[in-house]
Amino acid sequence: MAVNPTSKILSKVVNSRVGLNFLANGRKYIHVTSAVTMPVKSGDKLPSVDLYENSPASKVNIAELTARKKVIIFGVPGAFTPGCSKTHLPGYVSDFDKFKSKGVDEIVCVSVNDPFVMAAWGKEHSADGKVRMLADTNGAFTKAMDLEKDLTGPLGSIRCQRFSMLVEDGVVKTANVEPDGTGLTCSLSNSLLSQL
Amino acid sequence: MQPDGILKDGHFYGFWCGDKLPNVYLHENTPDSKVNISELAAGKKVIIVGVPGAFTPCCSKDYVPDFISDCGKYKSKGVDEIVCISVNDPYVMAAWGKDLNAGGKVRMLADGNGAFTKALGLEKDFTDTLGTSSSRCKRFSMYAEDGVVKKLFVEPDGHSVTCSKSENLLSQL
Repeated sequence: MAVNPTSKILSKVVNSRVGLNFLANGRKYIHVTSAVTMPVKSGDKLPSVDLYENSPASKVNIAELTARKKVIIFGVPGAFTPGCSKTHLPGYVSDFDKFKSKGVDEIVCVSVNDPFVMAAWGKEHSADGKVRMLADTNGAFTKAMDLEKDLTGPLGSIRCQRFSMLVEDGVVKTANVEPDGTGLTCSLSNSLLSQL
Repeated sequence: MQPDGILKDGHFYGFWCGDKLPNVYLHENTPDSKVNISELAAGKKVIIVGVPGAFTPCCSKDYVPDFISDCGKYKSKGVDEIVCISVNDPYVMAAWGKDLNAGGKVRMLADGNGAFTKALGLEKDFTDTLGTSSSRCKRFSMYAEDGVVKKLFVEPDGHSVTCSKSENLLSQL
């Protein structure tokens, strides 16, 4: 089906998603929903934002960390939440060697939690030496990447959408953001591995 | 009436002995599991302990563990429940409680959006120590009977472990 030129224009509208629906009588119409966009994309340079490792005193600048390296970054809505704990983080921990064999220098996990919580979560999943648990304590990185998701209801604050990305020398090469921000599909470890 | 404990520079907290616990919901284990703190405390003798953050060194090493290990002593003094609250989400609180072996001794209740902390007037900016721009809860311990606060100890600097420690509260019961 040819791309409707109107949808090309509408797709550039912030926070919109354009789709085609079919009515019972066969007529087609374009709908615009305020669904999640995919703000971080290939070619984007990572922002120079500080994250925290183990304690509030230990700053890690994400742009500096990724300079001249091949780095996997994945983001989760919350440390210790079921999906993040049962599937997302463990996948990256267990696939560590596979990522290394593909030339990845580091794997980083980011969440809007404080560094004490992130460190404890990493310890529970034996992430040490495999996945660096970096706290986006106040959501600065999440905001800079336009990956905020309002999870005030269940978790009490704005959090990060679930995503994964491959970054080379500070530039995003591949980005996978869960369409609903929390699902466990495109951002999982095996999916990103297949893209390398 | 003034709160018990050490007052620094004449600061008066929003909450006092003699006040009734606010009618606020906390969460236990998951976001779906609501616990109304005033209903929990109704008709009971309850200890409530508030901390700046789950998994923080000070709260984890001695502060909450002391309340856990003193559970038997509190029970012998007629206390029905011990509750720990923090401005963290319920998954984090549950994981922390498991890490501390609090099960059956101290109930870990999440004040996810800080509503309970705010109602008590015990919010504090912990930017310097935790790096969090949103408020957390000052360290405190309290004893309430039938939902009315009888003893309240709030740390003057909001995070040290002095007047609010278990040993001190126990001695007051």
